[in-house]
Parts: sequence; structure tokens; C-alpha cells
Amino acid sequence: MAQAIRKKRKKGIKVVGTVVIFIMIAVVFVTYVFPIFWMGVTALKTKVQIFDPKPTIIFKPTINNFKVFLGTAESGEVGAGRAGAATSFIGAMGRSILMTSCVTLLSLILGTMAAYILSRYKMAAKEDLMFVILSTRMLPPIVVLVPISLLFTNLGLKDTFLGFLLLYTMFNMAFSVWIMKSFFDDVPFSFEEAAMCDGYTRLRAFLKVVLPMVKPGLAATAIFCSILVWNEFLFAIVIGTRKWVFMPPTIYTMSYGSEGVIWGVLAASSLIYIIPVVVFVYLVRKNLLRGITFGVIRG
Amino acid sequence: MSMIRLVNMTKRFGKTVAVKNANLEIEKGEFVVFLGPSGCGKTTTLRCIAGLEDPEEGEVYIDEELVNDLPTLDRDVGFVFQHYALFPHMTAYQNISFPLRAMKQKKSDIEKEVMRVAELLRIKDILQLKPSHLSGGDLQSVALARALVIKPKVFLLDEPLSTLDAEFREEARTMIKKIHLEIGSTTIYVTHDQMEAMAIADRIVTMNLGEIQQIETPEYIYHNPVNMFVANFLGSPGMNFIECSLKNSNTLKLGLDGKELKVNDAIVKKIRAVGKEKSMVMGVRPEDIKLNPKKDANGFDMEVTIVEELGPENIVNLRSGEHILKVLTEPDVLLKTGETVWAVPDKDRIRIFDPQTQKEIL
Repeated sequence: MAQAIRKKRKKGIKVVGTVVIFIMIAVVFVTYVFPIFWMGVTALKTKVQIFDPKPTIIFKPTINNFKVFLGTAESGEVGAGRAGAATSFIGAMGRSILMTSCVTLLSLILGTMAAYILSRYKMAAKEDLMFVILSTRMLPPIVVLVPISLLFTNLGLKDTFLGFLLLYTMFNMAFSVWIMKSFFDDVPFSFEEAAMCDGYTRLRAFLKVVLPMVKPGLAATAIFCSILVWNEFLFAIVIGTRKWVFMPPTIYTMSYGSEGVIWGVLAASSLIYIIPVVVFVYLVRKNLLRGITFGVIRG
Repeated sequence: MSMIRLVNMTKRFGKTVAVKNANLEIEKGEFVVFLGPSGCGKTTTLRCIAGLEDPEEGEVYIDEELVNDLPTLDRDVGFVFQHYALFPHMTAYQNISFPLRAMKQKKSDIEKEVMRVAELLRIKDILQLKPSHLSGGDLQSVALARALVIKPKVFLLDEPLSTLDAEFREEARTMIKKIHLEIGSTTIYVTHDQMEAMAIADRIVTMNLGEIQQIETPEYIYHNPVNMFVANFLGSPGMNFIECSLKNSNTLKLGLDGKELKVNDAIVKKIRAVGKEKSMVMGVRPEDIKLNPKKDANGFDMEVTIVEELGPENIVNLRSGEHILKVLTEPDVLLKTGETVWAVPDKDRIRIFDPQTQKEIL
């Protein structure tokens, strides 16, 4: 092995580098993608096939697990939750998409405004304010679960759209403010000054010049926020009891029977569940490239 | 009628005074250069005129209108930033048309105007490129075009050439001067490069430590600097200074190991008039000193240390004790290190300064 590497080094370190990078990428790729692949395989298996001590990749696939989740077939498991009808699944999916979109949008708007002010204006105790904003993320959420649940019950926010909107937006503010501030800090103030010399107001300069330049930040923040809300389980299951039931609790109730986890249904529902996030990230991914927009101010 | 007028303008940043009590009048169509070392307040003054900074005291007038409380966008100024500040997400065309779009002009009018400045700056072929694909010189031209496209009352340039390579710099300098001659806009140009200032200015405003030192034409300011700072800052190398005192009615005793120099009556008269016979500083420009290899009664002897050959001229460093004099000579004057020469200053061009106030004794 060592000899082989030495030979290659003679040919040029470049080849070795390419090979090493390729191997590393392959390892990372397999590590990340295999569980998803296995989830997909499991979703298409019957219970017997899933519990086969010698798992196979070649088998006769079934879509029964999807049917169960969509409410068009029975799982046959004792004590399993039922979607009952397709509306339950579609409803949960719809609510999750709606809530994720609204929270992401609101977090972006509020976070961007706050971050811009924190980045551009002088104010007393700015660092302390930034710390306070960040500190909302320092506590494990489960610690405040009971107090917030009680609070929401008393305020009539439990199981409401507004309640979740406020709660999740609050969760996300620390992210969006901190990420966006660092992006605004990277935009030199002379861009706004140039726009003002060109006859633009501060607000229009912000909208026309600064905002397009922090697009990668907006994309990154949007992805962070949406994933956080999309995957939130704890508060969703405690606060959203009847009307505002999101996908994670639905998957949970659907795939646990009294005999344990119904793996096939769990895999099938999880597979459906990750599709919207994958699509969203795919759509915004090109905005993540920072290189396009930075490095034009010279000096 | 002045285009720009500053009256007792003072700008502070916290406790530091960036610009102190500036008074200035700039005529319509004039090309004025703010010149000074970094941190002298020249850029701050420019930014106060543009409205990017608010002066604490004093008044700023543009076209005889008090603009202290007028935001930048209403001041009708074109500003070229040191690092251009071109918007990276827009093409050159979009950058140039940006100020026109603020005014919500018709598309056809915008195109006409953009083409007009593109023609003027010869950048028609790069209009569809984004700033990241442009060379330094082109970025510079686009930045100029963006500022010029609205035909501003006042055209402000903040060290526009400082990021350019030396070879482009001269070309760009000529271009800026040419544009000024063509469109006749009132222009203020900030630089720390005295050669640049001398080359393009109608008038130079020299600044130091936040204060305006002298406002004059390049030629006048070069030959009649009001104080030692201006005398040294203008010219490359700057003016030589030698401490001296008056020995008798026609001789100065120099701070060069007691060497002596004969001077004109006129100078002696001036010195006597202000009573500074005991302590003065004599200033003489490097090109106003002739070197004589033989003993010369009108000069004093110095030792040659380093000769810097620049091509069209040489800078000869002369030493006497700790003191160094710089002299510009023709390239054919051949001198060796260690050689003794007699430095003969042009008597009519000797200037005398007061070491306390640093001002010229007139």
C-alpha cells in the first residue's frame, strides 16, 4: 500500500489528491445516503421481509406501507394508530407545510430587519442584546415545555395557528438574527452610500442593493428555519392536540402499535415526509453560493 | 457665485476632530483637489459635502443653497468611491443606469443616457458584464460613468485611482481631466498623491491634521507654500529644511556644523522685520540647488551618500553630520559616494520659515 502511494506520488501529488478526495467523498456520501436508501428499501418491504435475519436488497416490493399511511389499507397491527382517511395525512402534511412556510417567512422578515439594524446602527449595549437573542437557544427546549404548555393553555394559544406561529418564530429568531447579521456585516456600507448618492432613500437602498447581496444568507437562514420547524416534534405533540396536528406526531401515532414499531409504515411515512424539504433545499441551493456576490469591492 | 461653500465647518468623530473649522469656496466648473496625508480629513470633508457625514458645526452650501439638513439623495452629487462600490449583482449597464432608475425615467431615455456616458468613457463593449468580470481600469470607468450619468451639479471623487495599477493610473488621470474639460462639471478630487494633484487640479486644497493649510493653484502653491508642511508635502522629494540663524547682514549661519551661506538683502530684511534672527528654518527645493565639484563661495560643502538614478533626473543625497539634503540633478552629473561637493542654492528661491509656527516668514 505504502509503495503504491509512493509510486503515485512520483506521478504527481495531484493524482493522489484526487483519489483521496474521491474516497473521502464516497465515504461521506455512503454514510449519509445509506440510511435514506435503507429507509426506502424498508418502506417497500412486508413485515416478514423487514424482520428477515438475512436482509436482502432484491425482493418483491409492496406499496402496502404507503397505503396504510395514506389511510387506504389496514396495517393489521394491534393498537396501531390509524390515519382513518387520506384527509388525516393530507391535513397533517398541509398544516406542516403551511406552518413551516409562515414561520420561515416571518423569521426571515423579522430576523433580517433586526440583523440589519444591529449591523448598521450604533446603539447602546448592542453586544448584550445580541447575547440575549442568542440565549433563547441556550436552554434545552424540553425544560420550558411544561411552562409554555401551561402558558399557552391560559392564553388560549394552545392548539392554535397563532400559538405555533409565535412559538416557532421565537425559536428561529436567534438563528436568523445571528446568521443575517454576519452577512450584513460583510456588505460594506459604501454600497448603501453609493445608492444614496444615486438618489435612493435608505430603505430603497436596502431593498435594491443590500438585500440582493445577502441572498446567500437569506437562503441559508430559510433552510435552517424551515428544517427546524418541519422536524419539530416535542411541542407539536404536546401543544397540537386536536386541530393543529403536524406531520411528526402523525407519523408517530401511525407507526407505533402495542407490539412496537411498525417499521414499514414508519419508513414509508418518513420517506414521504422528507420530500418537501428536499425539494425546498434543491430550489434554493444555488443561492447558497457566496462566491458570486462577494469580493467585488477592491482594496 | 460659488458652487460649493463651506463656512466654519467642523466634524468630530467622538473626541477626535476630523475636520476643524474648514472654510472653502469652489467656483462653478472648477477642478479642485483635496490633498493631504491619510487621516488629514480630506475624505471626511468630501463626505460632508456629499451628505454622507453630518458636520457638527458650520454650514455647507451647494449652489448657494444651505444643504446641512438635506439628505444625500437630494443633493445632486455624483460620488465615486475609493473602492468603486459597484453593485456586484448588477451588470455594468445596470450599475450605470441605477441612478436613472431612481428617477423613474423612461427606458429609452435611460438607454440614451447610459450610451452617452459609455461613449464618453469608452466602455460600450463591457456594458453587459458584471463587475466581477471587469478589470480594475474598467471598474473605475463604470464607477465614473455611474456618477456622471445624472449630470450632477457636483462631481466628487474619493481617491479614485488609488487601487489602480501604476500603468493605468496615469491614463485614468488623463481621462478624468479630459472628461472634466468636456463636460465642465464642478469637481472635487481627493488624493494623497501630490503628483496627481499637481497634474490635474485647477486649485489644490492642502490639508493636514483636519485643517486646511492652503488653497491655491498648483503652480503657486508649489513655489509659495505657506508653511513647512505644505512645502514638504508638495514636490518629490519635498522641500529641504535647514535650521539657521542670521550671522550678519548678508550671511546665514546654518545648522550644518556651522556652515555659512550668503543670502540676498531682501531675505535679511524680512527676517529682521519679524525679529527672528536667532532661530529660523531655511527651505530650499531639491531642484533649486546646484552642485559644484569645486569650492564655491555661494554654497557650502556636503558629502555625497546615495545617488538615486530615476532616468530623466537623479536624486542626490548629501550629508553633513546627521543632516541629509536631497538634490535633483541632471542624469549626466556623475557623482560618487563619499565625494565632496558644494551645494549652491538658488538665492531667489530660498524660503524662510518660523520654526515655532512652521509658517513662512514673508
